[in-house]
Amino acid sequence: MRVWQAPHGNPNLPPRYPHAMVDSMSALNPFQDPLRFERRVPECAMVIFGANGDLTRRKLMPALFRLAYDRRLPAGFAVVGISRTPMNDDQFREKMREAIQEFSDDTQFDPDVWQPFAQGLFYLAGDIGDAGLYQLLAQKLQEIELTRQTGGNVLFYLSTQPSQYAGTASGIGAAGLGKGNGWRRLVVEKPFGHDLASARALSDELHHVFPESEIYRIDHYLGKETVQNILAFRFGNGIFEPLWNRRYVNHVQITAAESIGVEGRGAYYQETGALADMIQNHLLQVMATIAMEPSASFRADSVRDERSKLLRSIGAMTPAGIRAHAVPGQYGPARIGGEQVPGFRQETGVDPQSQTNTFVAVTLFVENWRWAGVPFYLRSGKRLAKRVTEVAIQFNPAPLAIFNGATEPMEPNLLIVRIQPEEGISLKFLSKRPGTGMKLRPVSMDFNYGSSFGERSPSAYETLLVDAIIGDATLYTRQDMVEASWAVVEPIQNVWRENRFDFPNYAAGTWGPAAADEMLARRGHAWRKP
Amino acid sequence: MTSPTLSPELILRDLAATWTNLGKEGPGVLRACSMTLLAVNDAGEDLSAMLETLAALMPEHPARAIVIRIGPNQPLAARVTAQCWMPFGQRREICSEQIEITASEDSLEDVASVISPLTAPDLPVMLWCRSPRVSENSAFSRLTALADKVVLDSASWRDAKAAIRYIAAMAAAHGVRVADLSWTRLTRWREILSQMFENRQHAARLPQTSRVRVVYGDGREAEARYMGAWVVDALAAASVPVELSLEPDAGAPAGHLALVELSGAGFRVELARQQQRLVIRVDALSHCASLPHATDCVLLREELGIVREDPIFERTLASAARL
Repeated sequence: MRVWQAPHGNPNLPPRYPHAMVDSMSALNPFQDPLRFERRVPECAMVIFGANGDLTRRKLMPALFRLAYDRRLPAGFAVVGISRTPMNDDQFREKMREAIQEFSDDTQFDPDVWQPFAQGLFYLAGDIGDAGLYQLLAQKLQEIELTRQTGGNVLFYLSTQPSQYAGTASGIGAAGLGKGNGWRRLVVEKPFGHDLASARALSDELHHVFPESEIYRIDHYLGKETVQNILAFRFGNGIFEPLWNRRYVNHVQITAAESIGVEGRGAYYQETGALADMIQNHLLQVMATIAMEPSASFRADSVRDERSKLLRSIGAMTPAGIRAHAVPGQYGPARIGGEQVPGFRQETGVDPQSQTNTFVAVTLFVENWRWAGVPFYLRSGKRLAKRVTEVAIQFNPAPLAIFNGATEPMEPNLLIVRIQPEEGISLKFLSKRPGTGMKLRPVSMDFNYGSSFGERSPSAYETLLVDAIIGDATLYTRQDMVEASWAVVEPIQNVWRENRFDFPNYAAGTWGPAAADEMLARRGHAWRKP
Repeated sequence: MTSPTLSPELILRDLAATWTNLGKEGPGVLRACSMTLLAVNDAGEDLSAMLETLAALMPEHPARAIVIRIGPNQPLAARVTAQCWMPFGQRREICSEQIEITASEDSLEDVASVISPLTAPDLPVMLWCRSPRVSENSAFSRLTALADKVVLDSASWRDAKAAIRYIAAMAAAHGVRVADLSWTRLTRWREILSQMFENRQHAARLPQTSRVRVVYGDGREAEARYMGAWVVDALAAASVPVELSLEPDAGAPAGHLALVELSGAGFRVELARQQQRLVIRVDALSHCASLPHATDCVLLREELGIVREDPIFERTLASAARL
């Protein structure tokens, strides 16, 4: 045995960790190695309201289990599931085990990981409108704080019907659970209101219990690796940003297409529609990420300030502008690959005369010096030709076509950011064809996320849950961003509400109504067929 | 008799021809390269295992891999191949290039001059060598001079103390950024130990620590030295002086670190290996974490991901060399 006395430590100095001063341990932990260690998730309890629902089973539990599998959750991490269904802890654990096994696409179910993870799962049955439930929850959280040493940190996750958000927050507040020994945060799923007034009213209700800095409005699109990579691409490289403006960019197309229909969610979807379900949140957030100004730092509020500023710069549309720059659509029945698929009005739970939009295409303009006059075309729809989400930035053509006559029609340079599937970035440019003569042809330079980084990308929920627990709100939506988005979308909603459209206006399996193509054709543009 | 020579120009021409031929096949291939990876294979080392490791690394660290096979009577020669893989669900293969150079130990000096023009421009050059014999060769410094980072493995040395001192001297003398896979093997242990002190209650008791014990199995003295030096340094930086003991344990499984213990008045934290698990005990409480097998591929994947300075390793290396 060899014994070595530390040469550096001075026993005469007071220790750096007096009990009362130990607060933000990540900063003080002398064993940190940020170059090699994953970001650390502090001890905490997560309370899921709506724990028996689809989101918990399909997304939250698989994400949490994966974090446990990757050893990213602390030993004391605990989940308290709440819903009306009577269950005990063991039944809840069993249900969650089934969900993890069914919905974890790329995570092997390891019993050795499951065992300690399951020990941290607890369940309370009750009605979230009942004050007694919150008293039970308070007792349970106190017990967990002692037994699992969570330091009193609690993340409340609202995975309920949106109409229950305000009531649940108020129940948390009334039971005194909005404050405690550690931090208290609230995660809210979209939709954040159904118009500007209701979004404001919801925020007001939540603010009675939680300050804005502790409210995490989740938009899972922002948690996707490629959406985050847009920031890295734009602000980590010096060569693209000089081109990122009205001088070089001709127009931008943002597409979020789904090949599936409403998949049993007809009744819910009928009340929402593509405009509120996709454009108001996901696509406007992606647009903000593409078009925002560089932030001074990568701190949460610095990035969110720029996103918010961009959203507020989007020009509001007049009713006449809406008729020219916004196209609603609804899919009708069609045969796709030998299979007859129903139209939206034939889906279960949908009114046969429904006026709900399942497709939206809009032209937006950003009124600032960088983007004035550059159209941003956004489209999203169900039952389109394929599932794809991408941003295509089309650059202006070369100012002089010196190869005129010797080439095929000049193709514009395109930068394509593919968000799903096959996440990556492609640059399309012209190259000389081998041989004599000056014949050009477009070629593509591809960066494929999956192949360039063999590592598995975390799911959006893994990223966002870790961020919420760590207290990093960069990828979460702030109240002013929500309101700015509604300010863009609400005028369109109001005009459309007063019209009756001749739906269906596109067949399932196509790229949407002809009016959407005409909207671009008026400016000499055409939608990409990704 | 004229000794055989190698022309970098010819090798580069072969490389170009390889890509042209690959481009003619089917829908073409994507060429991926994020670094030059020099891998030294000494006579007696398993070449096929090394090639398998390189192939497994390529999807995450696509590289121009240059394998240098050193053998007693190896003629100076080279051949060019491509490593291709088809990502799941994609239509096009992705390929990285591989150059294999054979040389005798005496011609190691010549190899460096051949390799210099073969490195991929503007990208980092990483050098991986497991063999103590080759890394102690005086001509090895010609190779290290080409590299942005040199990855060695002190576990291959017979004398762990000498190995760490040699690596520390290499880092100090040549200003080369070095890595030691013995240190990389500790990442999971260190991460889990660090996690213990994210807990406020545990962290508050850290100043009570007065003793650090590291127990190791056969062949893992270097790891024990690094672990001990790291813990002691970290505590010293927090003004917590401790006594360190490094204890070989013949009963512990060979090739593994067995135990790390921090103890003091009324406080004990223990990390103990039990097969592929790490059992963590704090006072009377305990829980388990999985401890995946650290293959060369896993270790290199971590090291190749770090091209910048690694101040914690550099500090630990210097301290471990003084132990």
